[in-house]
Amino acid sequence: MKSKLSLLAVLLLVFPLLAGCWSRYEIENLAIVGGMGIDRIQEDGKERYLLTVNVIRPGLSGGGTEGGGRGKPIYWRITATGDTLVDAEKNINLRSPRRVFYGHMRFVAISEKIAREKLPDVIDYLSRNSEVRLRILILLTRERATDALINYSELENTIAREVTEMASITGGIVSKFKIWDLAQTIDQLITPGLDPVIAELMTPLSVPVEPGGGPIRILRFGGGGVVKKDKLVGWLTDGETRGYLLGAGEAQEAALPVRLKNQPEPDTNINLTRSSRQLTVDVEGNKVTAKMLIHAEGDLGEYNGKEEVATNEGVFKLETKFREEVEKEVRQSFKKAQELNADIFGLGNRLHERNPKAWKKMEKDWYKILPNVKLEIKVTAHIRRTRAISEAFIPK
Amino acid sequence: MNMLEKGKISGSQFMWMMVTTVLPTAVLFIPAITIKNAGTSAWIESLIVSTGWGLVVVTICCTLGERFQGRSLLNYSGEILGKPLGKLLGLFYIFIITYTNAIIVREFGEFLLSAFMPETPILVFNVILLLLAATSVRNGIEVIARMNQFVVSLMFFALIFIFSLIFGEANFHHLLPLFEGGIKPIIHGALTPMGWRGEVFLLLFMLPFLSNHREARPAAYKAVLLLGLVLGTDVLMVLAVFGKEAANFVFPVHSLATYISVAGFLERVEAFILALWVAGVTIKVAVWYYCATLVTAQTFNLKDYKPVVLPLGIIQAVWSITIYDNIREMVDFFEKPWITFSLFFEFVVPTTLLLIAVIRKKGGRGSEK
Repeated sequence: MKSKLSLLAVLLLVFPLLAGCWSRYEIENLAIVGGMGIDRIQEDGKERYLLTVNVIRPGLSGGGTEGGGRGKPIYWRITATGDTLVDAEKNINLRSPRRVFYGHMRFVAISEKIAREKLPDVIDYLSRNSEVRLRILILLTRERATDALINYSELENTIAREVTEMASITGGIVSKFKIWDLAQTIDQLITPGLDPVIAELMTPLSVPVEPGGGPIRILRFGGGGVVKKDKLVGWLTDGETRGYLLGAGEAQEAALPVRLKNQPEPDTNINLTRSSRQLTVDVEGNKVTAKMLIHAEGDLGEYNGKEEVATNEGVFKLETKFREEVEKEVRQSFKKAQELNADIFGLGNRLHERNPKAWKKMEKDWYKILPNVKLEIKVTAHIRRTRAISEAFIPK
Repeated sequence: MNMLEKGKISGSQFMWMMVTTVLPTAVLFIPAITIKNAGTSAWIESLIVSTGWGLVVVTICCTLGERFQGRSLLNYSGEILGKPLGKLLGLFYIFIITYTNAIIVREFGEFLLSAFMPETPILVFNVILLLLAATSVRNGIEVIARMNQFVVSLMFFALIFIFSLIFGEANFHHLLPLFEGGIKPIIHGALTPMGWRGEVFLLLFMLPFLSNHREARPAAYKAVLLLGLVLGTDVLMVLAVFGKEAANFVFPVHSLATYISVAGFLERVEAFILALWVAGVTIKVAVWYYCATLVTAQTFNLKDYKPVVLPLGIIQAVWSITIYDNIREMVDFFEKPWITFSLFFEFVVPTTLLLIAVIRKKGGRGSEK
C-alpha cells in the first residue's frame, strides 16, 4: 500500500514537468526577424539609434503562388528609436503584437555614421545577445541602413535569403566583395595588425519597373569599408576590393579585362578561376618588406585580337599580361591601403605570427611604419585552357 | 570494519567515472579561462601542463590508497593522524566536497540560464538536478557507474560530433605565434584548469569499491590521459575557430556549436551541448554527492549512508543558490581563490597524509590484514 502511494506521489510530481519548458516561445507568438539595420538619427534635438527590422509575414512566405496574396509585401518593416541599442530593440515591441525574435536573423546592415562613431557598441550589442547567431553577416551601407531593408525581394522569397545567398554563392563568382560574419568580423577587429574590409551593401534606385511608376530601391553589393581599429576610415571601390581580395588570398573567380594591343579599350578578358597567396614580412633594421607570392590560374574568357592566341606563344603572351594585371590590381589596393594607413592585408598580423620579437618592438608604432612598408609581389600566373574554342572566328 | 557500500565496480567503470568527474563542466568553463590567461599557448597548457598535474595527483592518491588497500580515506585517516585529527579531516572533507558540489550545481544552472532558458528560476534546474543525483546516490555506486557508462558514450558522441563538424572552420593561423611570451602565460593559464584536473582526487574515496585493486592505478592514469586529450582538443578547436575572441565568450564550446553550419542546412546543433551538459553533469554531481554522503557516514560512524542523502541535498540546493550573486563572481572565484582552495584539498592534504604515513610507517604491505 505504501509503495503504491509513493508511486502515485511520484506520478503527481511528474505532471507539472509534462507541461513543457518554462521559457518556451511558441512559434505563433514570434515575429521572426530576417534582417536588421542600424542607423543614428537626430530626434528631439539629440542623437539616437534608429533600429529597423524586417519581420517575415507568416503565411505569405510560402512561395510564389500565394506570395503577396493579400497584396501585402512579404516583409513587415518595423522601426524604433532608442537611446541605446537595447532600448531601441525593446521599443520595437511597442509596435509588434508578437515577441520579436532574433534567432533567425541573417544580416545586419550598419550605416556609415555608426561605423565611424559607434562600431564597438554595435558589435557588443550583437555578440552579447544570446539570440543572435555568430553567423549573421555584417554589412556596411553608405546611405541609411533602413533603406537596405526594402519590402520585397527580387528572386528569393526573402531579402534575408537573398543576402545570404549572395554571400555564399555569388560573392565568389565576381570577387568584388567579401562578406564576413559576426565571428569573423570580431576576430579581425581584435587581431592586432589586421584591419578588416567589411562588405558594402548599396541601395541604389533602379529604373522604374512599371511604365509610369517611380524608381524603386534595389540591393547591390560591391566594394567595402575599411575599418581601422574600431572606426571606418574609408571605402574601397569594386576594383580596389578585387585587388584586396587577390592580395589577401580570398579571391576566387573574377574577370580581368586586359589590353593586348596598344589601344585604350581592353580587348581581351582573362577569367581568374582560382588564386592563392603566400605572405611573408621581412624586417631588416627599421625597414619592413612585405613579400607576396600570388598564384593565379585562369582561362581565356574573351579575345578579339588579330594574332593567333591558341598557340604556345600566344598563351605565354596572355600569361604575361595576366601576371602584370594581377600585380597592378594588388599594387593599386596596397597604395590605397597605405593612403588610408590601414593594414587590410594583415601584414602586422603575419609579422606577429612569424616573428613575434620584431612585432613586439613595432606594435606601438605600426601605423607609423606601415606607410613606408615596401611591397614585393611575385605572381605565377597560368592560363590553362581557352574554353570552348581556340581562335576567334572573326579576328579583328 | 562495516562496509557502507556493498557494490563493486570494474576497472573500466572506475576509469569512465573519473572521466565524468572532471569532463562535463571542464569542457564548458575551461577554454575561456585558459585562453584569457595563456593566449595562443592555451592548447599546449591544456594538453600537457594540466595533464601532467593530473598524473601527479593520481600518483599521490593511488600510492596513498594502495598503502591502505581496500579501505576508504576516512577508515585510515585516524590511523595516520590519530583519532581526533582523523575525524577533523572527515569534517573538512564533508565541507569541501559539499561546497564544491554546490558550485558544480550552480555551474549547471548558470549555463542553462545563460544559454538556453533565461527566464526560468535557477532553483528549478538545481533542485531537479539534485533530486536526480540523490536518487542515484541512494541506489549506490554500482548504479552510478553503470548509468555513467551510457552517459559517457553520449558525451563523447556529442563532442566528436561538434568537433568534426566545426573542423572546416578551423584556422590554424590562430595558434601562431607558438609559445608567445614564453612559459609564463602557460603557467598562469594552467592554474585554474589544474584544480579541475585534480578533481580526480575523489578516487581516494572510491578505490575500495574496485573489484580488482590492481586495475586502479592504470585505470586512473588512462582517465587522466584521456581527459588531457579531450580537453586539449577542446581548447585547440575553440582557439582555432575563434582565436583570441574566445576569451570573451562565457561558454566558448557552446558558441562553437552555435557556429556550426554545414552546407547551410545542418545548423543549430547546440542541443548536443545540452545532452552533454545535462547527462554529464548529473553524473558528475552524483559522484561528488555520493562521496560527500559517504564521508559523512564514515566520519560519524553511521551504519547506513542513506539517511544523510536528503539533508546534504537540501544543504547543497540552498548553497548552490546563495553561493554567488552573479556569474562573474563565479568565474572570478575560479580564477583566484579556487586555485589555492583546490590545490589544498586535492594535493596538499593527500601528500601530507602520504608523508606522515610513510614517516610513521603506517599502512603498506606489513599492515595488510
